[in-house]
Amino acid sequence: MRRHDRAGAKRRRDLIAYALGKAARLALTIAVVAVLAFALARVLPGDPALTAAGLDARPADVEAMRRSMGTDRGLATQFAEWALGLARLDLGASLVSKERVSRLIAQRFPLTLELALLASAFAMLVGLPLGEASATRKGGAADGAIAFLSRLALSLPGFWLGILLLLGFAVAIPIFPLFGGKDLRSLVLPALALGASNAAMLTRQTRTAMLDELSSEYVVAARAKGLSRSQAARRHALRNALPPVINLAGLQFGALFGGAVVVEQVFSLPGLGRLALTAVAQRDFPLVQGCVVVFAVIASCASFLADLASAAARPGIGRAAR
Amino acid sequence: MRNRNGRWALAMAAALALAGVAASAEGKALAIALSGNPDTLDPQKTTGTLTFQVLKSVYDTLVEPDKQAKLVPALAESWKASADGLSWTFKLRKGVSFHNGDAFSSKDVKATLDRIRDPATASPSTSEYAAIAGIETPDDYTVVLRLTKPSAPLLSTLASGWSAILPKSLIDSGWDFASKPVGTGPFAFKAWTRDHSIDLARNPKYWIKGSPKVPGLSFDIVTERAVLVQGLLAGTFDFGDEVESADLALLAKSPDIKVAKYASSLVLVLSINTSRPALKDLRVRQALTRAIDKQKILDSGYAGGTPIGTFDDPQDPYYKDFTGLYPYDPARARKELEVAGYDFDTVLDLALPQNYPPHVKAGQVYQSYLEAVGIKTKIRLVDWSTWISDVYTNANFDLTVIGHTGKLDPDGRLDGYGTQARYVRWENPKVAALIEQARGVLDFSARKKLYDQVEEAFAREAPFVFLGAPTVAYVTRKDVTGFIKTPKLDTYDFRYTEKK
Repeated sequence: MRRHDRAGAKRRRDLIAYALGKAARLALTIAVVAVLAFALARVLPGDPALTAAGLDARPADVEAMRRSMGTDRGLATQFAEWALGLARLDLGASLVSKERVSRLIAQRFPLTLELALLASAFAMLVGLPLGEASATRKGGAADGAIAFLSRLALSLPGFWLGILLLLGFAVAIPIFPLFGGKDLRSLVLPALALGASNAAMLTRQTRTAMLDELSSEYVVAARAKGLSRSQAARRHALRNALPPVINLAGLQFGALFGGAVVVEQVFSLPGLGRLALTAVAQRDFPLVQGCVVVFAVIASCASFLADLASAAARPGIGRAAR
Repeated sequence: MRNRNGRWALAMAAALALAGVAASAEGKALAIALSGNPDTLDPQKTTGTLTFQVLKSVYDTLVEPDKQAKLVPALAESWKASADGLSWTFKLRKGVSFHNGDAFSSKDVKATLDRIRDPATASPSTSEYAAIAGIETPDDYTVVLRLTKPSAPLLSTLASGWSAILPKSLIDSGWDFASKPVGTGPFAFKAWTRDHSIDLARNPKYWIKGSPKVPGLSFDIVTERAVLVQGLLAGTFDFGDEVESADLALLAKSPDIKVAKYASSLVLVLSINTSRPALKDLRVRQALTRAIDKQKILDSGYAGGTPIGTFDDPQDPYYKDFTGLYPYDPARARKELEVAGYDFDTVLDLALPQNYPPHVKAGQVYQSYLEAVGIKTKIRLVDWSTWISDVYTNANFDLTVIGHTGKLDPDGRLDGYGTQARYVRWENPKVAALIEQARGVLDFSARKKLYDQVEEAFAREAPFVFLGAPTVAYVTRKDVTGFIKTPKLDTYDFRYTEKK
């Protein structure tokens, strides 16, 4: 009993150290992203004042707009202002609408988060069982069918799948809205379009990891004890196959926010992706930078949480993952 | 308890039924598919078309263009210029009120014009008001504009969307017009969900009796072509603009849909950077025009249109026809290029704005026509912001394809041409001087004589291949009537629109 306690405390210490190390790396990542976001936004040709002014504006008026936006100042000044703001968690104000960037992002964030969570849940609910099924039926007809489906899902671009889903389930069989909703029902088709390729990747990852585990000694031993192949798979192999799958799902979750740009466009959803897209089109620098930083935080946090989850899921991972 | 609930339910049902009847008698808000999210709803802060598509219904201007683009009374009932053209007196309409309840008066006009002239406002249109030296309000319904010099375009400027009249009380309190517009227009602003929809409600006190006819407008922001087409077919949207020509055929087949076409005042061009060595020679530029079958490109790149021969649209009263000057003749174009000693190994940079698919499509057709006479081009796709700063402002291009939007006054399009200030880098001091001079001439026929010379110089010296004014289609449901597209400004006017 005491030995067990000591082992438990050590494991907790390991996990805490592991978490702290990861958190420090997260902060560093965000700092690097902040610099890159600022630089990348300015490397693009284009000028927010000219873009807002249009073709017929006179040069004097454009100059007044630059002064009002503050883009006539030196880059060093602009960067210092932004970095100091960022350090105080202040993302500045949009050049175009003059609204606070944090407010604009906060307005759009919930919808895209819901969309990403739904897409992620869909990918896991489909990917894990299909992966397991195709691993336990390796070489069978089901395995072949699943392989075909996942190839299909991986090769269809998200916007195309989105249009197909709209034409199918909002036009031909109108069970979902074509336009207008922001409720859960109107997120179903976008989540399917967004999550399909992730589901396919998870299916493959689960299958590969399961096959590794199924051929390992402990499964052979478990089967020798009289468990059926599927019992052995569910009780032992699946749990051990989970960490790499969780890691992948975490990485995917961060990437979903990028994929949301296209899907939000197709489904007319007012989410974070379209906010970022418009910001880039208008060269609204603070807003572009704010969106990039938020995307980076989400992606880092998701992979961090996935690391923690997979560390917690496997005994001894605290050491191994460090 | 249960009984009471039951009675409540009955009462509610009855109320709902009544409301239902009322709603159907009133009709529903008109659903308009808008192709993108406006940058801002402050009329003084942008030149963006999307903003004015919405604000046309929220605001009024002192004067406005009628169906023939003639300027007619709106918030001003009459106006008069002094003999020397240095003062303009406007008599204002009485009994008009803003959506916030303020009564409209001369103070609002002064406050509005002072706001757009203030450099701190940083409006892209400030320079258009440069001729105004001072604004006087002798009484509540009279406004006098004092000018530094006579200005022919001034009245057109006052009819443009950015001259929308705002209430003084809100200007003074620093109101957020960018997200909550308040005007005197036919519809009052209700809500704007960014990238999703803008809702307006009927203004029951609108100064035109019997207008507007629909209870509200809902501008639905639709960025996906398939959603626009299917939404029109299903009746989700009552009105759609910017429908691609490929989709028109499908829509036209539906018995529930009306497709209407009108001639836009957009001037479509292939712009030539005349400062580039290969394109400096007038004979080369003439050959470029002769190499192009204008009608073919209008039909295949755009949804048809009328060819033009100079920098003006055919509906403009100042338009003069020069299409016969360098007609399509590829053999002659080739010969002229040879005579001019054109280097056929040169590869010209053809910059195309990728977010305007028609211009990109047209660009590809231009490329094949130029190839046919031996001119090599390389297409470079650029995003809009890059186009406007790199191509348009810095003149980093050989050739580019674009449309110049309609203007109520010719000066709006011509200002700055003939000098290095404009992107084709075409220098012609005589043209620059004529444009400057015409700005101060108020008499139409005297002014037309000046513009005739300007248009002829444009046609002869070919700083552009002038393609044409395109035909544009808009689509409505069958039961929608009384829609007007404001000429020149190309904004939507829903004041007389009805849904049966």
